[in-house]
Amino acid sequence: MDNTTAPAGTATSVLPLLAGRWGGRPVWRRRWLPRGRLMRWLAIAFLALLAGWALVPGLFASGSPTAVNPVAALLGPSGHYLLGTDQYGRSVYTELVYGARPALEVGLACTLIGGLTGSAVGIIGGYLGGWADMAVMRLIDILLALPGLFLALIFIAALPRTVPNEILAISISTVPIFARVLRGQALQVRSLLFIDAATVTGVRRRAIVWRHVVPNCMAPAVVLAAVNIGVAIVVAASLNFLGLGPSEGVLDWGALIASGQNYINQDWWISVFPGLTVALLVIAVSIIGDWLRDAMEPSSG
Amino acid sequence: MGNEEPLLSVRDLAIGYQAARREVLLVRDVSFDVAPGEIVCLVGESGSGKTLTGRAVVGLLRHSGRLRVSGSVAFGGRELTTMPERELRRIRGREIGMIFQDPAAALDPVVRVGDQVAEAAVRLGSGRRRAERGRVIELMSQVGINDPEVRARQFPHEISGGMCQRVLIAIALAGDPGLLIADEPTTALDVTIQAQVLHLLSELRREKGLSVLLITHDMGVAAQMADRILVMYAGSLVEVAPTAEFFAHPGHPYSLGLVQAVPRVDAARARRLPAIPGTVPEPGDRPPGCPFHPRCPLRLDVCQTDEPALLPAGPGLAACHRSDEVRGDARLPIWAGTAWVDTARAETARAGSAAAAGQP
Repeated sequence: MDNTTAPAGTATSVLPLLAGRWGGRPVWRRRWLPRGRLMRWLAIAFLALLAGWALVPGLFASGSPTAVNPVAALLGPSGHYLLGTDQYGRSVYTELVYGARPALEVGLACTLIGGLTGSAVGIIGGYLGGWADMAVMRLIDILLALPGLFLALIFIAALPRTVPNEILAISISTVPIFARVLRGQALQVRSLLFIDAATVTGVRRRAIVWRHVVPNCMAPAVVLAAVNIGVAIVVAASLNFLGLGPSEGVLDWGALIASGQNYINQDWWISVFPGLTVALLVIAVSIIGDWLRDAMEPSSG
Repeated sequence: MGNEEPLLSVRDLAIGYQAARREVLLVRDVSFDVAPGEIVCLVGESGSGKTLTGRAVVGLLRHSGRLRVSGSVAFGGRELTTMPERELRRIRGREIGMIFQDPAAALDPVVRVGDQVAEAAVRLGSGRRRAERGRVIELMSQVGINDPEVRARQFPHEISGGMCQRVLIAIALAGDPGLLIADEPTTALDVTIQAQVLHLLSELRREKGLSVLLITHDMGVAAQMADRILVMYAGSLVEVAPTAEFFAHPGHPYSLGLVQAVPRVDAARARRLPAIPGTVPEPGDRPPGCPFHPRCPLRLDVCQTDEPALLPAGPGLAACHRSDEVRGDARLPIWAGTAWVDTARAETARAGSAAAAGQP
């Protein structure tokens, strides 16, 4: 079975079980999804659809996502209500479409804030090294031991439930991954000859970091950021599902799933379709992430 | 040149690292001078400590973590090893330039060539980026880059290795330094480009009085370029001699091996190219006595116990108990494989006239 699922790029080994360890990705990171051009395009199409929802929701759904209609409560999927209605008679589809924008905003904001902070910590630590680097990285190790969602949970639990606080919590949970990856990259870049060459030309350390180290660290940062937008959206949805999101007034997929919980036995569509959207998002993001990583791998130029 | 004040003066340079129990020395007791306008070649096999010595001079080993540098490096009378980083930065580029073995790796792959030259020119010139455009073009044409305007807009991977090395030389010259440290500048280049780069360095020396510390393992390059030759073996200097003298009368069996391992087109007769058997000892297990004795066909008992000091031998210095014999013998024994044969026997043994030239 290992032979059939081994990625195409991996050399076939006498020890199929270990093939991944020497031949590229470790066994536990084996791609379990069917890959290739089709999957990649499906993923891109799905993400494009979500982006469309976020940018021009009016184009995809008619009516207001908050229009309550008690007469039409708990209707199953039909021609009129594509994905059915919830307990207040709101169209699940419309709610999904209008939920994309806040989700995307959270994803982008968290990636920007957390990514920049994490990258800065990682690059500075990796380039300068020494004592401070050690201390910060041990702290990062501790944070990395907890899953991102858990980390966000800890912070959100201590804060008033507002959108900025939610973004803050998720951003914090984003920092360690960026710090770790970018530190590794900066360490590697630091040892390259052109850094020495700049040093013997008498370029200041600060200038070396800005002009030579940072630009050479961009590739992995971009890949990580692309993946992280999706991850942050899912974390936000999870927090909302647990009732730890912004308390009122924000349309959210996680909250939508939670609201359908009580009706799941009969009126399954309220929870299932938003859940499906989030699940597909995760899959699409990981396909794109794999693809980006492969495309930007230094070995392939 | 002898009585001039040296531009660069290295004394008792040692570079080592702390291993589990003991300190391992990679470079030891290295002392030499470079006079203004002089080209000094540092030669030796891979792993002999040439590159480390060059890097130590510009203080590149300061942040290397485990490497410890001791001894003195004086440039124009100022001590570099104890100088604060801030002050050293002012000397780097302005007074000492450096070029590297792998020119493609010494340029930042994501920065346009012109911007990299500008980085040096801006720092070392007026400080205004806009005003340096002309200076960048001037520097680039000075080192023989055609179409500098076009090249300046390209990325390092778009230009050839020889072109990269020219760009590096342009960068190194931006601050008009008095000393250029060239760490195997032509090793990665093909022979015609190598000749051009070497010619460029000679020209710069003639026009600007540039001193060059040229690190190389290519005896041909050393013969062509050097005023003086320093031979390193296993981290120590084993011979220092003016070039003509070095090639005519090497004072150390190792030097002799290096000299005779050079293939010559003008050799009077075909001969088998000699090779020095064995390899340089690992820094961890340097043999007692003379570090070269396990490979030396002239070794005596004393060589295995007493390390010879670098003492005057003819016009130069040599670290060998038998340097007078090595220098004085007109009928020089040559290295041939593992055998030690004289020229008379070599004359009869013409079989290997087409011996392949390897690295010395």
